[in-house]
Amino acid sequence: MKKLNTTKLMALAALSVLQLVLLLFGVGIMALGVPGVGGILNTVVYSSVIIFTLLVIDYPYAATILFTIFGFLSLPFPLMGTSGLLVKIPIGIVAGLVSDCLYALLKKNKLVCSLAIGGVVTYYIAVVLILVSFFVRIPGLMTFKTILSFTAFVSTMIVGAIGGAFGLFVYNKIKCSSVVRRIQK
Amino acid sequence: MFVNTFIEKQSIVYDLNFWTKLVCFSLLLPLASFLSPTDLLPLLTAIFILVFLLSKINFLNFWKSVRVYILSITVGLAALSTIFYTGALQERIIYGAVLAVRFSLLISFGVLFSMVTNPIEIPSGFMQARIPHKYGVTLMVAYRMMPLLSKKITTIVNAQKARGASFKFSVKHLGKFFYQLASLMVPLLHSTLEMSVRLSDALISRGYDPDGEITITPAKSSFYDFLLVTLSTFALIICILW
Repeated sequence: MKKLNTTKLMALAALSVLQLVLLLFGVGIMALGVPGVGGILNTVVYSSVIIFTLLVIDYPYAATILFTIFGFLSLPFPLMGTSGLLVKIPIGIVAGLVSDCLYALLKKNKLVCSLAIGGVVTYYIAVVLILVSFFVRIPGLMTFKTILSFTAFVSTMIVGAIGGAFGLFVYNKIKCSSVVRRIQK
Repeated sequence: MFVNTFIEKQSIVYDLNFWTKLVCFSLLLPLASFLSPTDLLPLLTAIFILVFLLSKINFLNFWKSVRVYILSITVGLAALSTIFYTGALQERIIYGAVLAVRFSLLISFGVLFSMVTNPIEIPSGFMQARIPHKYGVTLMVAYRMMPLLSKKITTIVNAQKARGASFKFSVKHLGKFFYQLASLMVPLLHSTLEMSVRLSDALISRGYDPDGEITITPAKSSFYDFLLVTLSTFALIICILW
């Protein structure tokens, strides 16, 4: 089995920071009031960065480590839940474990793997965040619970799958570069 | 675009053990804020004010970090509770205000934790909990990379714009938007990985071994750690049982 060496660890650190910064950009767009764009962008970023990480690092638990680091980094920011919510760390760890399990099962067919992981993981994050919102009693959630579940299923699974395919597309563009080969060695 | 949230100061709160800060400011006290009856919210607010004053952080700096979240949460919750909550208008507004206070406490404790915790404490804290040091070092490096990466993104976006790229979202031209995104993501991911490889070379040349043994600094706990953990646990239990 390949070892988790210093190069892979630093790549995981860099990719988790990149995910954080890109998601903050999506949150900024949401704050400007442009409807839908920030959410779509964040869903695409989540799924494409997970897929890209799994394909580049190619190590068991790579996504789990990525999401654990991301969980700690995102504590002061409104990502994967509101600021200060410690529960975003276990949410991220479970998302990483789900990604790693799916990758281990489906990695022979990269396209199917990307679509599956992108859709499933983003759907899981959306559902868990809605459940957390029910726990903290956000007004109006019970009124829209049917629409929310439908919206979560359709939008996050489809957009997440598109994001996964996008991550595969980006990986195929740079997989032959010396940097990627060095990381995968 | 992005600033590290840690503020360097000397105070009792800064000298607390990493795990004390993480458990109290990110778990016990925020949980107490959500589970407490309305009558006990002033007590939790008083605890926050006491800890904030002991941390000696400038209020303006703190307010700059939290104002966007707190103001948007307050306005959003007030609007949602006025629309969806049942009862007289006064009751609905009070319900929204109470929920906004709970969220404000949660956000304030979380941001306070990030302001009083030096990123270097994270790998030390992990090692003291017998978590392999490679994960703590990775997390610490990630914290240090944040401002570097945001500058790199700005550079790449400006470089693409100088080449005639425009990043406008349009439902009619969705494919074009994703193509434009790819023109940004490919150089961004490549340069991110290049940065990580250079960093790993620097660590390897200095003899860092992720699986090697490392000196673990002993965990320091003072009377104030014990006091804060006891106070936070007591507050949580009171809030649940009240």
